[in-house]
Amino acid sequence: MRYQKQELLSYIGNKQELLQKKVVAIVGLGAIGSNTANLLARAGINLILIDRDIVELENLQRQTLYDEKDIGKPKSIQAKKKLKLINSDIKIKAFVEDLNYNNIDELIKSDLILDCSDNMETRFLINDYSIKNEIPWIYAAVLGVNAMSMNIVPQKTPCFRCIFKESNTITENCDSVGVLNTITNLIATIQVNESLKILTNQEFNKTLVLFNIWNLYMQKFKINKNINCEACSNLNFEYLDGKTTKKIVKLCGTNSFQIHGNPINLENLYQRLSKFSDAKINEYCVYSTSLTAFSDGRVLIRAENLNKAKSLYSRFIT
Amino acid sequence: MKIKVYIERTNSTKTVELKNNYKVIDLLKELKIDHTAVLVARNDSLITEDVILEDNEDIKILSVISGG
Repeated sequence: MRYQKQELLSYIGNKQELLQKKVVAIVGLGAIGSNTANLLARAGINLILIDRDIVELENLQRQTLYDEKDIGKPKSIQAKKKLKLINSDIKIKAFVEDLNYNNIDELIKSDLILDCSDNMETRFLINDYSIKNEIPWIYAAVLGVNAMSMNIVPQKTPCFRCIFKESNTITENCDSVGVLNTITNLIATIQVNESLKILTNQEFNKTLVLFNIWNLYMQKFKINKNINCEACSNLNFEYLDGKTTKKIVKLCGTNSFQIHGNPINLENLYQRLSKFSDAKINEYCVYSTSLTAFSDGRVLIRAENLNKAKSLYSRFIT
Repeated sequence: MKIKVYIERTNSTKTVELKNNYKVIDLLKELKIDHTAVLVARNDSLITEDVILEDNEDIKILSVISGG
């Protein structure tokens, strides 16, 4: 009964049973990820949720799984709670972790990976993992009123690294330009739409799609395999091997930097921070207006620039 | 040769005069656009930096999007 309307569709029909056996890993539970998780849970698909961040007030404009009571709590855990209320039949694993080359094998075992992250390094890492393990993934990203998406299915499509390059000059992000909540919903819907096709072994989109939701503009671009691609041609998995991992990452959405250092004693940090600010502590992290610290050594720092972030890190963490 | 270039980030179109046999990467240098931060399309296909441009072509320069 639950999936009746979906099963009535010729596109799904008796493939619903197959869908319910599938597991999709969602990397990033922000604006795109919270919407994809919602749709996939309702469609009956098992989920792995991975996010390193906590819910903040400014997230609520577009991150549809969360409400005011979730502020200060980890996104993946709060998302799992909401999704379980929506569909208690599916299996959901939630990880409050930064996906990296050390933990990707352990966290992401699935039939399909959805990139809902906010940085290129994570995408190159997922791409390496996808090619090495022959697991499909879907890139999706937003900025302002624009979005892009591309399906990467090993052996069937070019890979992410065939067309994208590592860049230090992508300076525009949701923090500087803003983002409309309609475009995040739209690209999440596209991502789930393509997921349903890939998971049920049906023909899927093989182009890069670009949307401008304000102008109601959409364009598809054909993509070609790069015969010199480091990842899918040379099978040189630099990101998976950890050769290119950065300790400091500029995050999208707020003026935030992530610095990954040594493990942190949360109680000690809380005592130190309390002297200077309105610090709070829960079982996952210590957070204040300027930083959020996790016991595994990750610290998210809100600062105008990298140097200020580093100086806050030095002042309170090391 | 003349190339008509649409730059998506600024929603602007300009005509650029280039020497013959200029490649996509040369066009980006001419426009002072970092090649790592954009994708380049001709008609409805993405093209690589080493593609040689031809007279009167229409080129689109798309900014790479990274937010989530």
